[in-house]
Formats: sequence, structure tokens, C-alpha cells
Amino acid sequence: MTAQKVLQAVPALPAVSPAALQLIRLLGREDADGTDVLRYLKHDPSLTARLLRLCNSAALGLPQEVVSVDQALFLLGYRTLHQLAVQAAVGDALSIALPPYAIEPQTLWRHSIVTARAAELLAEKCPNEAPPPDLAFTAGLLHDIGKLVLAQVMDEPACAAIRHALEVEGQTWIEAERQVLQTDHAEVGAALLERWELPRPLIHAVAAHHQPCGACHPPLCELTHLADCLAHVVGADAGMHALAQCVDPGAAEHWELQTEQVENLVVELTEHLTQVEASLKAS
Amino acid sequence: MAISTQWVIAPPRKTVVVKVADAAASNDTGADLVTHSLGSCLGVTLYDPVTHVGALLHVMLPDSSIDPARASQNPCLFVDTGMIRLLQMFARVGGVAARARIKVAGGAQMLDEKGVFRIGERNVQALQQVLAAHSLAVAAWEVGGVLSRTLRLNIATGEVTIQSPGQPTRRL
Repeated sequence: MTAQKVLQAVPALPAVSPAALQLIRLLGREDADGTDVLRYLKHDPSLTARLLRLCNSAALGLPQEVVSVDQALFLLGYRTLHQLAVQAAVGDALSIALPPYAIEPQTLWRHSIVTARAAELLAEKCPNEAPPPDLAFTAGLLHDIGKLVLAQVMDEPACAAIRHALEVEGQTWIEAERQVLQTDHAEVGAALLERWELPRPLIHAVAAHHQPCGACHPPLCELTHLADCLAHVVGADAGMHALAQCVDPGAAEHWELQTEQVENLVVELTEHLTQVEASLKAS
Repeated sequence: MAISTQWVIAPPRKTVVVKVADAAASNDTGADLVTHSLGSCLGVTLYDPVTHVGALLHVMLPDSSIDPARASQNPCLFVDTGMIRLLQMFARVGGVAARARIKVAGGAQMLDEKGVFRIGERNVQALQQVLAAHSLAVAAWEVGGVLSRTLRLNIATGEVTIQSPGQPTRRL
């Protein structure tokens, strides 16, 4: 089955509102600013409510209560507000349980949000030819969105065959998915983003997050791959055999990542993970 | 003559969750210490079968020398400082290290040719060094592989169990 056929075959695509997609599309525009965010949020009151809840969460630590999106824009600035809006937009869709992957509710969200933060940190720490941090953040957030779709076509025999490939043949998740379903969650995720008409770099980063191409500029796919690996190391992983994946040797080398840097990033991400867990507990 | 009967129902067991880079020790036999999502991190349990005291550590990285300031803020980030903290906490609630049953789980890792992300393996090595320095030995291990693990210690019995997504619960 090709990725496109999977998209046609599934009964329901991830529940992301049109306003949310418009918000993500802003990443592809250089002239985007706060007024665009306000314009799209006006059409989606439930997203606005979720965004305000995020703005008032303890993790953000704002000194005053945020009661409107205009006030949030004034207090946080465009970049942070946009990031929070994207986070609020896909949060619910990524929080569901995916039994074929043995993913429990909220664990994929936890993995995605930590990967997003890791991608942002990597983009900030390696300014040479690095992609903009907000693009990196969104790529990290959406990298596993294909799992939401692919899980819907994984029936009992497919799950058993994937499990066999993982446990007996020692394959990685991507290899096992390809062997059994002739496609994988990265490809399906990219096809979904393409259907949603999201920016090209995002589509490519999601498609290549397990096997970065090593040729694109800025190297968003490598960055998303490394961020995914970092999230796994920190323990923000989801589902069975969560660490059954390969670290691309070229990516670590290209980013000149040494063990010491990885450990420092782990320390920073641990703090973030603690905040994420506190917010999940509160919600 | 009627014989009077009395029913004493045990209260439900309490669950104390140990967060990432954190530790807990307890002498409450009605409690379980639990830590979730051990990826490359290590979960270390200590249990004193005489005093029924237990302790659990969730530790992230092998060596505190990369960031001594953070290590003094939160010793449980690193294996070397975290184990010392754990042993102190264990002793504080009445555990004796010399008779502690030590069990370890976690240290999973991805396939990594270059070894940059091979933190699980180095965590295990660091733990072995710290334990050797204190003349302590591990009773049971389940480390490595590609599984994420949840570790649970029952303070009443000392039983240690591991759960991984999609796998049956197993005793360590």
C-alpha cells in the first residue's frame, strides 16, 4: 500500500482544524506577524480557549493572567505566541492512544513536545546554516503524525507481523513497517502534510526523519532526526520497542555532536520534560 | 454462644511516583515506589528485607563532572552523585546498605554506530563503578535493549516488577 492509498483508506484523518493548519502555514511566509495569528484564531474559539489555557499555565510563569489573545501577543511576542498556538492546535490530535503501537494516551504528545523542544535547542545552538527555531520546533512536533494514520490500517495480522519483525528479526520500526505495510509512518506523515498544503521543508523533514538525506539546506531533516533521538535518550518515548531505530551516523557527524554536547542537551531537556509532565498531570 | 468476628481491611496501596532525575525512600509497607519511562536512564532499587525499607532512583546521565553546578542542585541527574544521595536517603529511613537487595533496570539504547547517543551503556558502567567503590553488588539486572520500562518496588515484600508497553509485566 502506498502512503497515498493509506490516506484514502483510513476512516478519519487527525483532527486538526482549518485555522490550525493556517497557523502552521504561516511558517512558510517571511512577512507573517502577530496580526495573522490573531486573524486565524478569531475563526476558532476552541483553539483560542486552549491557547489561553496554555498561556496561563504555570510552566510559562507569566506575572499576570492572560484573558485575550491580543494581550498574549503583547506579553509573549509573535514567535512564542505562534509556537504556543501550533502546540494547542495539534495537542489533542497527538494525545490519543494508538493500540497497534502500544502507545498510551498522552505519551505520543509527550514524545512530540520533547522532540519539538530538542529541535528548537539544536537550531539555537548551531546557528550556522540551521533552520529557524520555530520551523524546527514544528517539524519536531509533527514528525510522528503519520503514526495516527498508519495505526488505523494496522489490523491484527499486520500488528503480529510487525511484532515478529521487531522482536525476532531485530528490525527497526521503519524497516518493520515497510516490510509488512509497504510504507512507513514517516512517508504517511509527509503525505498527510502534503494534503494539508503545509510548507515544503516541513513535509521533507517529516518524510526523512528516520533517514535524513544529508543534502537539504538548511538541514531540517537531520535536525528532526537528532531531536527525535534526543527525546528517546531522555525517556520521552512512546509505545513498544520505542528505541528500535537507527541513529544516522552522518547526521551526528555533520552537526559535530559529541557525547558531551548530547549530555548537556539531555540535562536541559530533562527540565523541560519535568515541566511537560507537570502540565499533563494538571490537565 | 456466638463467636464475634472482626474484619480488618487493608487500605489500598499508595503509589509514590519518582519523576525523572529524582529519588524516593520509604519505610511505609503500604506503598509502592514507581518510576515511568526509563529509556536510556537507569532505575535503581534498594530494598532491606529486615527493616522493610526501600528506595528508588531514576537517573539520567553517567558522570556529574560535565556540570557540577547542576549536580549540586539536583544530584539525581547523574549516576555518581545520585547513588550517593540514594544511599543517604535509604539509610535515613532505616535501610542498611550492606544487606540491601539492589536491582537495576533501564539503560536502553538505539542502534548507534558512532556511539554519540550510547548513554544507556555508559550509565550501566558508571553504576558498576560506584557500587564497586561501596563494595555493593547488584542482585538482578534488566538493562539494554530497545524497550522503554516502568519500574515498581513493593515496600512490603521487596518485589520489583517491570512493565514495558505491549509486553507482559515481569518480575526482576
